[in-house]
Amino acid sequence: MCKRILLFFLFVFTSNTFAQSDPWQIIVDAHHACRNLNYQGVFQAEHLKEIRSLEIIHARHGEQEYTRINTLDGAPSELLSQGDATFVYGTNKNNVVIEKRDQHRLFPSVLPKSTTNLRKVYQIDFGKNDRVAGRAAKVVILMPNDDFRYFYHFWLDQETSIPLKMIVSDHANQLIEQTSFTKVNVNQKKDLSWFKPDIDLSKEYVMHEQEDLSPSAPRFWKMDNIPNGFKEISFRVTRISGPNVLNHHLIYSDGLAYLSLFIQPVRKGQKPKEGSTSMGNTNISARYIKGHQIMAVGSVPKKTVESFVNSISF
Amino acid sequence: MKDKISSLFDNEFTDSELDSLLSDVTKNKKHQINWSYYQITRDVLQGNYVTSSPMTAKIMEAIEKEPTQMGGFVQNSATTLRAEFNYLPHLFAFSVLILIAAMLFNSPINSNSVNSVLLVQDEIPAEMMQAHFAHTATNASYFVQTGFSNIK
Repeated sequence: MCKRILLFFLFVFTSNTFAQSDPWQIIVDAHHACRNLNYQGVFQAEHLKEIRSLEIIHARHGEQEYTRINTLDGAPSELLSQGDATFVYGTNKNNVVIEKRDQHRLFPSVLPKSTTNLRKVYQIDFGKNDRVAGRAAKVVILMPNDDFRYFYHFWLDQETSIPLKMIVSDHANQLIEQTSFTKVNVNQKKDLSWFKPDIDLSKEYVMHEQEDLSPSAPRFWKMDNIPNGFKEISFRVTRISGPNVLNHHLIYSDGLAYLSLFIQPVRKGQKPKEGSTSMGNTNISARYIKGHQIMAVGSVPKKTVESFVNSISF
Repeated sequence: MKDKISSLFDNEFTDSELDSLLSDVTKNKKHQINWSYYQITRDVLQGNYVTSSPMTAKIMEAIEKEPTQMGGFVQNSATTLRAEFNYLPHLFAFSVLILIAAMLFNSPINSNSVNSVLLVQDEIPAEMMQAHFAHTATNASYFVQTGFSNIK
């Protein structure tokens, strides 16, 4: 009997030691911390070479996750998310435009639930401890195994594992993207009175909806030899109302990097585009095949978007 | 039948009505011609090349499957074309018609011969960038406002 108890404790001890020794566990912890903890703060993020401040309040209430993020600079916009339902409220000159979207991937909830795919295409490393927004942080670096993706640096809160800062850099160590909390509080508040849009009630509400036609839309193309680790995570087909053509939008991801692939018929009088360019940290590559404009867009290296447009055939 | 085919292109048919129409279209050569006629008319009126719809594919597949009538009737020598029939003027006229139609429609259907231009930053379609950011952004790019441009 004593021998069995000893074996049981030995098993528990070794399992626990193994789990703690898995360096990737910290990524999973960070994912769960972002989803399950109550926190609020302000973070700064770069958009097309401009720094924008955003305020976030996040709470777990029962089985549901509630998030509100609003822009503090420029035109007022805010996101309200409850579970999988996400609504974005934007204001223009005359209207408040309400748009339903899929689940968001906004900072700090940028790390995936599973590390299976990440392990295939990145190496994990740890940097020196640091301090961000007044909190102690440990630095985790995900280094790509190839040049189809960038380096990701995370400053994870030592107490909770919530990402406090994220830097994306290229293979020449040039900054691609940076997002960082300037202040953050982790608390246990149960109150949900903040979960409502702060919008101008004098303006008219407009719902912006686009029907997804993907269930009935045929896939008339095939993809061969896409960069390793990228998987299709979303497929949407929408009708562009003016010229009445279908727009096919596929999203690929390796768990950290995201890339959109658009397939659209070329309209009469429109000259198809070919070649590559960039807009801020986003690379874009275009190709024309058999009456269709193919375009890949992503915050990934130029080589990656070019590889995607060259992977498609009809 | 013409009305039915026209309705089909306006998506006014249910699946059961579509099956019935498919059956009629595949059995009648005249209806097949009407089918092609409406297909071209729709594209020209809309001024677009539109991706073949599932409905189009389904109908064309059904036409393909319909067995070709190879025999079953006696050839009447009085109505059979003579070997000396001069087909060259007809072929020439047909070619000219095709050429004119191609010039009128200026359609890029299944062609890689259309002159493409180099992609430059100013000509990146805003809708594509907005759709990309709305579904993938981890930062402030997420709030690029989709659909706002066409709402005054």
